[in-house]
Amino acid sequence: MIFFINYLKDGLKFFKGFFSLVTLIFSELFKRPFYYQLMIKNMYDFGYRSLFIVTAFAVSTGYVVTLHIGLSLEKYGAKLYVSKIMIISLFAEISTVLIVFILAGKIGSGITSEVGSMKLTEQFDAFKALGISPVKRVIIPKVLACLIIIPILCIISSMISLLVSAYIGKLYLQLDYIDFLARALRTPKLGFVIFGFFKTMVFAFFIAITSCYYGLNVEKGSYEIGRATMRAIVVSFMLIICGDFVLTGFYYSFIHFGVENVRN
Amino acid sequence: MLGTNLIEIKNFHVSYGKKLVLKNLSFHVKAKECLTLLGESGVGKTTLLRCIIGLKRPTNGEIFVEGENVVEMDEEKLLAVRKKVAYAFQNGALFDSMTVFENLALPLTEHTQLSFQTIKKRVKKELEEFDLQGTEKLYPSELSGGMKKRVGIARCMMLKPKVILYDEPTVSLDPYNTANLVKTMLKLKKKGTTSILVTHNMSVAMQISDRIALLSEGKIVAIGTPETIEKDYNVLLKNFMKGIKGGLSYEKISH
Repeated sequence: MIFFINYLKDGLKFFKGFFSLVTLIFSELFKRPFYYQLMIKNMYDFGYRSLFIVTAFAVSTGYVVTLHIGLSLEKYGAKLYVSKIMIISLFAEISTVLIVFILAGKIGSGITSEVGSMKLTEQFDAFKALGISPVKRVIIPKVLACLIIIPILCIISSMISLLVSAYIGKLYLQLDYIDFLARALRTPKLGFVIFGFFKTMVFAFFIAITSCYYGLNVEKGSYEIGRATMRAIVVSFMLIICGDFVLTGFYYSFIHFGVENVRN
Repeated sequence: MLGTNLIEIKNFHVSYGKKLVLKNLSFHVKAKECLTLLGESGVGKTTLLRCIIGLKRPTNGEIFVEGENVVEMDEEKLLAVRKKVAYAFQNGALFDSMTVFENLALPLTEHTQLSFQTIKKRVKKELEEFDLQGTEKLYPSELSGGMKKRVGIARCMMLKPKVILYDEPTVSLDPYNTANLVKTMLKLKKKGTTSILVTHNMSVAMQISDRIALLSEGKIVAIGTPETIEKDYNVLLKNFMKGIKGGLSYEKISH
């Protein structure tokens, strides 16, 4: 019981801090100066340095999922539908949720440990002492970089997975490469693609804010950085899972584009 | 010649949770003056400095910098105060992702419209002033402790502040680096910079200060010129130097 109450207390504290940080970010977001260069540097750090793992994941999932679905459907003479199922699963989960889990670990942990060590070495106070807002200079560029680069990485992952899937379709299922891609690209409606893109932006927001929040709350010493990083990743995962549940439910209940897609 | 009151602290209280750390402090610092705060670790000296530039809010009381109450200011108004009052952190607090040049140039790129060439010249001049030539391209991790502190103070000086708050600048420095730093601080004092120095180093305090305030158990137990303090409060100082707990308080000694 005490264990549960402590969890609840931690949860409430986190959400309070999460919304305070969001409020602080929005209150400073439109004030000058704007640190574009720092945002681009962060985009490079987060994006370019995540390309290898994103590519590896995309190739692997493209290969594995196509084989699983394709060989199963082939028994029923429905292997032509592999491309449709593949692209739906890519936009619905694989390249919008699973890849974001990986990025939460890769990018989120980096943000928490960097912000945490800056906090410990009084660099945040040093910014303030020099009359510079640390939120504007450190936090906002990271959040904006995440909001831009994570959806781009998800799109890159989808494209790589799709190309690998088409190649595997040709290799194992004797499906025409061009026909596979054409069927795949005809399948999702614009709303469904936008929904997938929107989802990744929401998840990117969760990762950025959660990681910054835990970094900013490091106080006691360097041992806390590891714990904060772990918490940031776990909480980001939980938010992504809950967010996926709510957003997908909302989409199929109220927007309907996806239902039509699946039925087609 | 000391000027008018630049910093004035009135009925100042700070508590951490239920523990009252600083109790009803009131004092002032005149323009061009150097006031040293001397006291045991944990007595609240650093807290006091942090409150002066608004990095921490006091529980109660007022802090006036050039007649304006810092306690009532929001972050935006505090920016103006922080350009006038610089804070030299105990460990330098250099930005480890930036080179020495970038650390020093930062206040100028943020708060002035100076061209890159002018900034470069200013940084070079400041580095020469602090005997740090040739360190422009180094990162803080490549500097010694003494150099980090000097870079930290040099960074504070970039905006030519009226007041500089030194937080234990000579702690963990060898005698050579301490002497160098003291020389630098005296040079700044000669230029007319007002300062508040927090230190445990009596010799540094005696060399630099115009006045010394002895803090014990959250209160100022004595304040005066180095000569007065040395003469009138010799027992307290000796006890402090001997490492007797509560040595800066007559009440404690009498027990």
